[in-house]
Amino acid sequence: MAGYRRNKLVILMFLAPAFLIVTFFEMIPVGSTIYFSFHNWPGIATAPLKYVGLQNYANIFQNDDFLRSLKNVLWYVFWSVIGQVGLGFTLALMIYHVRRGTRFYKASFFLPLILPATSIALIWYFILFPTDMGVVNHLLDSLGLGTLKRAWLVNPNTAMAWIIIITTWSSIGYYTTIGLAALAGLPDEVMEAAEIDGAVGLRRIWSVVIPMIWESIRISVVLVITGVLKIFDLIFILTDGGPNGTTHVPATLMYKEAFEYNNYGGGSAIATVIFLLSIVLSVLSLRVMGSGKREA
Amino acid sequence: MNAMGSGKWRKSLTSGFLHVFLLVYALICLYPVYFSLISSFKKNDDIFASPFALPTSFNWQNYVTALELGNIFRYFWNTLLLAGGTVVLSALVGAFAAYALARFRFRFQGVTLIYFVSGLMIPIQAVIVPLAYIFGQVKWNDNYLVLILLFTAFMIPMTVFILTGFAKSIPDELEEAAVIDGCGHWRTFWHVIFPLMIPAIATASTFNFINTWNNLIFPLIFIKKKELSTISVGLLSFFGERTSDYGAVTAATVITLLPPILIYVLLQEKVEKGLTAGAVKG
Repeated sequence: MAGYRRNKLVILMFLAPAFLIVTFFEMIPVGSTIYFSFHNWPGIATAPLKYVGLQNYANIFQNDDFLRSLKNVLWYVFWSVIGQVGLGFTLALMIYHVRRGTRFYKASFFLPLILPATSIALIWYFILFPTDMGVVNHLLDSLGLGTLKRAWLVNPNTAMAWIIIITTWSSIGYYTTIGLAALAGLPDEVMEAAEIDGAVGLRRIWSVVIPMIWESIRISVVLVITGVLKIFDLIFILTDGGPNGTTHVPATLMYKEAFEYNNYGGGSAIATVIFLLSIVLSVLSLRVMGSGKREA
Repeated sequence: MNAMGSGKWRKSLTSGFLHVFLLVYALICLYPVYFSLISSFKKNDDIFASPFALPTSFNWQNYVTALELGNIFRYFWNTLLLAGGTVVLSALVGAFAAYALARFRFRFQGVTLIYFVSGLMIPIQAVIVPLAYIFGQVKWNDNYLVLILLFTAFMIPMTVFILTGFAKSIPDELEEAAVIDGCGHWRTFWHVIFPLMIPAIATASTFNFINTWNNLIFPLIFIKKKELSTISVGLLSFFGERTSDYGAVTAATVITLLPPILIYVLLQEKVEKGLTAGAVKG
């Protein structure tokens, strides 16, 4: 049996298909993106790549649109962490507390996650329709709050806020599910012991429960950061970066640079920055949140 | 006694308050789907005139428009083909790799697993430019086989992660019995390991199907011929052509929502497990 489990040829044969597919379509392209970011290519099949050194990076970091998209995405990440992890775990705690209807709540909160971003974006576009007609404006009217009506997605003050709200709406169930799984792993004795000690209600949550599920909160924060930095479709459809670039993020700008302006080198430089940013922010947030369990 | 009573009362008041909050939020989660469903049966003028009203009658005209003018049926079928191909190929090569990683001993075993799983960290944006370059050079655009391989590359990390963890839990005795019966590796895999992996394959496949079905950016860039488009791209161009035909656009939207919702309704737990695998232990 030992020899059976060490047959090199068999191991190789079983690993090869997955290995080759991942290597050719994922790993080599990632390396090539970094390589591309030092070159210019106009997007024409016959045109050769031209080495330009750090020029693409110099260009994007002198480009106001890119700098603004960086600022936008940092706010986007910040509010998404608060919204998705904060509210997501709060909802999990609520479901855990009431104990009834768990299945229904969990399923409802999770539903937006499985829907295509394209469809979600179109539905929300209609809900926020940029005239008097949209559902939100309709609702405000019928509540007698007609003065609050806005053209939500074409107003530079509200467009990004709605992108954040819709993102949070669509992903929150993920973190509620993670939170519930973490809470389900808590031993009953701990909760009972805490109750006897007089730590009840919010204090118990803060000083007993949160420290015990801290690890899943850390993982969630990293998932939100890497997830939000990737978001493209939602913004592409809802605002396409507008009005006036107030909703551009590096991911949408990258698409524009590469596939609308045929600036593939610049697009690759932005893609590399996105990749680096998601690593740096993840490591940074893990550091800030300490390692393992927080001190109770 | 008294204190206990008031504590209990307070507790149920809190519960009631929480239920109201949870219920309101659940409705907010469901509302957009409900809105598109009721709007898809309404006449265009009624959709925004009274967005909260139920449709007065079942008007299928919007669906007819979406299917005929929007070509939605064609895109639906195309996407089903792509997602189906991706699910099958990912399950197959993922199960192969998981078998090697979980049931054998070799050097660089840990590193190989990390290599596969690290794919989870890679954003799609980080690969599309060089792929656009290569696909242009070797004329791989509009090629479903290539697109299925590309999707599969992005599904393999999670598939291998789920299947390897599962395959490790299969008891040695089952495999040994097959070997004693004279089965080689290939037959042992197909007759013992693969059938046992089916529940985990189902979990991974729900993840793979939903992610492929929902993807916009790959077909947007790598499919140039309109008739080969996927449903997300098709929906978007239908919206572009008939922006103010709200009824038909919402009808087309409802059609795009059907497969993921159907899968979720049928396999709720597998979907939740598949999507949160890696973040949730067990």
